[in-house]
Amino acid sequence: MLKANHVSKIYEDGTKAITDINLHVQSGDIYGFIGANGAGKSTLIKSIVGIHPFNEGEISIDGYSMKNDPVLCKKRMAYIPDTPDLYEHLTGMQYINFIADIFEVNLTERESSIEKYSSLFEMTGKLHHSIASYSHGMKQRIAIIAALVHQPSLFILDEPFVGLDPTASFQLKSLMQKHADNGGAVFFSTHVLEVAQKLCNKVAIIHNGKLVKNGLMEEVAGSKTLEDIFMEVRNESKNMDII
Amino acid sequence: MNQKIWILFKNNLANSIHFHDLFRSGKQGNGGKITAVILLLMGILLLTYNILTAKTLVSIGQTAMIPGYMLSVSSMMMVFLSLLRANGTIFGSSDFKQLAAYPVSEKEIFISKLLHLYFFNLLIGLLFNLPALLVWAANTLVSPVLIMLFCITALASPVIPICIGVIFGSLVYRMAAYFRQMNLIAVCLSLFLLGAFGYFIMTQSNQTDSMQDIGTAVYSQMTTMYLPSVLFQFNSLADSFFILIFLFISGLLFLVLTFFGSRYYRRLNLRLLALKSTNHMKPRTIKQRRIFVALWKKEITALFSSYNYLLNSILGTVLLVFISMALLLFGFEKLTTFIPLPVSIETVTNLFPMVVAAMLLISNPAAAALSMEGNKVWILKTLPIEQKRVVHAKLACTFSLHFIGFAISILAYIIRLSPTIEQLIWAILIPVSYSAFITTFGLMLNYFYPHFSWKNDMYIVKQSPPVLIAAFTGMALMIVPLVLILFQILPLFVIYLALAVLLIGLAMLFYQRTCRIKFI
Repeated sequence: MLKANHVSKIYEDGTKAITDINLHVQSGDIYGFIGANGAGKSTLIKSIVGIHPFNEGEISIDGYSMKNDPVLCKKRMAYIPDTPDLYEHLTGMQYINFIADIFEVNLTERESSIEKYSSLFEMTGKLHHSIASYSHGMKQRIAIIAALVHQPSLFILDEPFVGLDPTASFQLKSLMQKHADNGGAVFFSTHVLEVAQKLCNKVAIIHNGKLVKNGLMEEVAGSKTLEDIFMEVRNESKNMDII
Repeated sequence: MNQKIWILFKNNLANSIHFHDLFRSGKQGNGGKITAVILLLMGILLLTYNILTAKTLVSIGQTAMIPGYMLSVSSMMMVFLSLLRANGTIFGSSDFKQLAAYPVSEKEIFISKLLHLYFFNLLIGLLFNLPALLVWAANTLVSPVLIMLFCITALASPVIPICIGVIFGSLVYRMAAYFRQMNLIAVCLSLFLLGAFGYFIMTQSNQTDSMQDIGTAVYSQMTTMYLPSVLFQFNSLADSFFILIFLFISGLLFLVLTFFGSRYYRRLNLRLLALKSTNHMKPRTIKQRRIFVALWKKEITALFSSYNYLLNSILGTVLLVFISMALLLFGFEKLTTFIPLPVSIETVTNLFPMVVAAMLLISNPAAAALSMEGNKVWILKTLPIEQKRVVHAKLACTFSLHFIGFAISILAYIIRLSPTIEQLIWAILIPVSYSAFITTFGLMLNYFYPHFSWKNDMYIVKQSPPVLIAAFTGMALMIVPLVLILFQILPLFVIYLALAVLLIGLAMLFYQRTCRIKFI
């Protein structure tokens, strides 16, 4: 579903953000993406969804190249950013409708999606309120509802649980699980390692812009917790720096 | 000065003038440098103009009037500037919530905002008062005490205009806060105020033919247009008394404004914030729209959601509608009585396309349309649409605005000025060409120099490189043909035809270039 082959990104000032990243997210996967602050998680995610251009390599969604067919790629995925900066002058409903218009979602499908997801995320009564009046968590929920309104096959989420209350977090986790069970795929970054270990069948750990662990959860973690593995990676890197 | 006020002022200034862009490499650096060059050029032009004005006063034997005249004119400019800037800087500013969280008092925040306005007004004042001082001191024997008093007066002169701007600005928001379309109402009220002020100045600037009376006439105009001008007396040391009164009034007004303003600052901003948050909509039936319509509507709502963006974007269109309606309602004869120059119907009919074009040139939201996306730009970048669809929507937003003014003006033109077919063709073709040119040029510049990380949109809509470059180029493209027309260097149809071909050709080039700039 999502393939990243030898993807590298260098910023204008010469900083190497990510180097030679290889990933393969398949149908049915819930792929966790873990790394310290500044490790390159958001850069890779933004390259995948088309926010950042990348310098080397290839990213493809369902066989379509992100460089050559970005529109076809974007039609197949939903992206939820870490900070839900939305059009504050619109109401939640107007924003969702705008996204649905762009994705050319027909009225019947649109109405049923809005009803389903707004009820799931307890936003039904607030859809006609201005986004400016929403809390961070409510904005995050609207971003999620809008992202799902066109029934994408691939979810790309950057720190999706930040700002969500326990109920909304639970609903999102269930939704991700259901989506993967129905043949979709989820790729998300998180700092909540317990959630990643519980939810994901695959995991990738990025450190200083390079993937240091990548594969099935049981292969990467074995009998250890994801936290232990993450700390091992950090310590190894520190020792290397000292040497 | 209180350390906290100084820090707040510096921070405010850094957010509104991007000094650091000057030292950056790449596109941002180039944009900063171009902006600096344009501002410098405009400053030099204004300085030169003011030197010439001062020298004219010398040549007609009114040297003693130079300081008073320049202080008055600069003060009136400052009133305009303060009316335009007070809202967005003090009231309805997007940094209100952020500043409220800092360990600083409302008084300190308010004073730092006043200082911000003072800084910009002082810069404007310098462009008038510096030439005044040079020409005045060079052409007459002036006492050093008077020179010192003039300098102190020049430093204090922004205070009264700021007070006027802040008081009227807060009144505008106070009244607009009762309406659902708060920004639109606030902009309309601000434009009404500016219009009323402009009209007052125009009607008071009565002409005089007698050179002997010119001194009295200038003095009378100054004092009628700007009352504190009666205190700008620099004839002899005996006049120091008037200056001291002016300084005393300015100081007192500043204290009163600080006292009441800092109390009102929090109350009004909280009210504006609450109004924004409770701006709920009635549930409506969901409709499916075409991609273009959805994007265009998003652009229009974004335009109407920001006071600064709207005020800067619709000024020209509103002026055009106003002039056209006046022409439609009163007819040519009555309307020309308001113009202080004798004009024939033939001149007006021939120049009408240029007047309409000039108004459209100053209504250009396209020059800030991309930067106004701010931190929401990720939405456009992740949507499954080709870049040209976004370009079309942003161009269409400006064209829609232009169309309103253009349609009414053409209607008034046909009904009241009865043009020939050739004149009508130019009246349509010239504004359309200018509209196409300035819109595509502004948007292309914004695609070249986008700026998404802003806290207050004031910088984006007033001082960002695309806005300034587009405005300056538009001005140049207006002045050159006007000179050719007024001095009858070439036949009118040749000038108009060449202009139309040039502008439409450039617009097509700019459109193609914009669609190719990699953004999404």
